[in-house]
Amino acid sequence: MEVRRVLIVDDEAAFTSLVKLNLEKTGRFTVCEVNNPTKALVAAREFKPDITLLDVIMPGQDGGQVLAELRAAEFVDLPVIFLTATLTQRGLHERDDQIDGVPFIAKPVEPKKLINRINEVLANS
Amino acid sequence: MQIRNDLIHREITDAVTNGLRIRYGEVLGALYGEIVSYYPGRFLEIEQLRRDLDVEAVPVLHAILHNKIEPPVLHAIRSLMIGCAITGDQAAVLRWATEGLNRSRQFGDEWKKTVPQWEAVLNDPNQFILYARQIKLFLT
Repeated sequence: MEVRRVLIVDDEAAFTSLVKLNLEKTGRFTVCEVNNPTKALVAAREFKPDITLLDVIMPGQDGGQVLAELRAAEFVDLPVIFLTATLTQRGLHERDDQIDGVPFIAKPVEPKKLINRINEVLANS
Repeated sequence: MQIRNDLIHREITDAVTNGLRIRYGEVLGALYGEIVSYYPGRFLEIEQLRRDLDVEAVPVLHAILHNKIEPPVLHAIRSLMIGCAITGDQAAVLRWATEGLNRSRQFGDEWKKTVPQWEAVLNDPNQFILYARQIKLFLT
């Protein structure tokens, strides 16, 4: 089975560690954590992710700025899932877990839901 | 002296509740920004406010993910921050203040001037929430 590479960019180290733990224990993912959004592009170039999980609001640079930077570089088609605590699960669910066609997951994240979502996005990419 | 203070306090409370709230409700509501729908006769409902915050966050998230933050979006971010303060959600207040600070630095002088305001919220969110909730007393 192919191991997929997941880049997670979020300023909360405790959160990214937990996601890494949950994804890697399945044996189907390898995860690179970035807690400083200004280092996301450098990390992406080294890690060469299959998919990126991006927090929306972070100090210094928000998820939109990080994504714009990735898209302007060589990651034009890199699949992205946004992570947000600014909308409730209910609020997001009412929008089919997406905003303007971009997949979103509300924090706190349920590992099973996250894995399903990642598989779904990778399958469609 | 205590009796006099109590009387003054009651007078002020009466003036605000019976005068400002009933006669100038829209003005008080406007203090919170566009997000808090407040009309005389339909006082502030916290559950409704929470639902409104969910709805109002969507266009802001849309602007962020397309990296297109314009000054009206910053107004919305400020309103969301105030709305979250009224609900007492400190984590949400910090999130919106972080975004407001990030983006206000990128605009012209008028928005750059607001940098210390976002920083003040980030440095002492509890104080900000306390003030927001004080005003809330007059709306509920």
